[in-house]
Amino acid sequence: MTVLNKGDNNDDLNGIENRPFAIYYNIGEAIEKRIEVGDGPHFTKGKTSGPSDFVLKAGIKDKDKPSEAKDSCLGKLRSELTTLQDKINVYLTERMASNSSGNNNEEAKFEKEILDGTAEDDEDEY
Amino acid sequence: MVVDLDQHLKPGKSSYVAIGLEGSANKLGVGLIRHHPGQLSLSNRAEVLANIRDTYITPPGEGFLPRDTARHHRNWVVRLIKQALDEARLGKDDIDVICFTKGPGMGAPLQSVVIAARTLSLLWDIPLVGVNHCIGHIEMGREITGAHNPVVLYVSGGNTQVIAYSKQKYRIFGETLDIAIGNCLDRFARTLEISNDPSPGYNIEQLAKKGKHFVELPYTVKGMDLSMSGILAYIDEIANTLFNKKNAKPLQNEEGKNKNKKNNLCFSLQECLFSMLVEITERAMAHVNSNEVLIVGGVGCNERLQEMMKIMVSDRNGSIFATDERFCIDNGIMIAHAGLLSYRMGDTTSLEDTVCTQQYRTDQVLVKWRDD
Repeated sequence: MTVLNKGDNNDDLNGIENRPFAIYYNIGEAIEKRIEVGDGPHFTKGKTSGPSDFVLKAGIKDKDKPSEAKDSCLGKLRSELTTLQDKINVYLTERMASNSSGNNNEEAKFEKEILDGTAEDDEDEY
Repeated sequence: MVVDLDQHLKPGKSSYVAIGLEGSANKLGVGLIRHHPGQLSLSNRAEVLANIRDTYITPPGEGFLPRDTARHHRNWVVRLIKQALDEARLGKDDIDVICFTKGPGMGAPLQSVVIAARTLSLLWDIPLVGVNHCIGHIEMGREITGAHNPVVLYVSGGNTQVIAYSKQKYRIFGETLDIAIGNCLDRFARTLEISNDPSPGYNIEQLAKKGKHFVELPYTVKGMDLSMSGILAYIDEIANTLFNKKNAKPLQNEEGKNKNKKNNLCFSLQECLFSMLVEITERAMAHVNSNEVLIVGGVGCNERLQEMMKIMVSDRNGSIFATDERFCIDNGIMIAHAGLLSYRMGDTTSLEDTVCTQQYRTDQVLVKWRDD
């Protein structure tokens, strides 16, 4: 996964005109997915970057929230990157789900063989 | 032979300044340090300009999950960096190098911090240096205490090692074969549902001070190494029997009600574990013919451990060195200090080599800044 932004590297990032985007590719697969940040609105509080369910269920007060974005180039970039990260997370989660459902039986069989051995292994033991 | 530490002093500058970012576990630390040219010595000490820390604290009975710890670091790191720069009254132009913890540690929290370091490096055009967390503890301990060439006992939540320097490497003489001592104490604190604020280890120490009766526990020194998982399982079983009524098994040597108190269990666990540490440290001292011991790492703050070590070291007419919680517990200043030593020898880490690693042993680092 590559995240690109063609802005300058100066202090306040005044040179940024292009919006950040990400490209997903995987060697050996004919996939090149470009993920755009979209129109927004964008916030620093991401949909996929909150506390874990474990923490929420424990009823903990969230003291580690991200601060609000300032009205500056860096602030805008920060909220856009949060949206982009959300989209990347959703895309990768979907890919993992589809991969695991497609190869489920074969992978489960392979994993069982690795962990528990095969029938032939059992014969060898006796 | 004396190492030349000043081959890379920038023209027009009279000192070096480094910022250090630490986040290998549940503490996020940012530190700023200044070195003046020349060898560090008692008359040329490193100057601590800022040393700020924020800890991710979980409820009693719970450990810290990598994902939530990483989120804590991610959302606090910029605020802490700003605070540290304000405290040191420095700007980006004053900084020579950005140092970050490369490992060992938990992957996700390490990742949060290195991303901050990379971003600053690109924004400010300042080089990066990746630092071994253990080397950070050792070098900061040496600098603060003035210990010259000690046997180092490194005891923390993730590491338990006895270390001695030889030929530009910090060699590991002995270590845990399973869990670290801090992990053992923290997990027992979870069993007893002791508060994690300010830290489970500190709260165990306070309970242990009130304990009087020693409950016999397994003693598992294996040559120069030690093992603690069996001790934890054993004392967990006792605690569950007494307090939680889970996995209940009757105690074999129950002598009076006092033994049934949390204080006595905490006392016994500390006494047993610390005795093991003192034994392997003493053996390492005999091996390397040293009479200095330096204790570093979060568990190194424990006053009882320091006391027990002092008794052993005094018997050998030696000296013990330890630091307080500012430098014992994970912090950014130690990363800045060790990284700056490396930078002064001409080392920097290119952007593509800033990948963090969970496994990074102390003896993998070439200690270029020492040649004694």
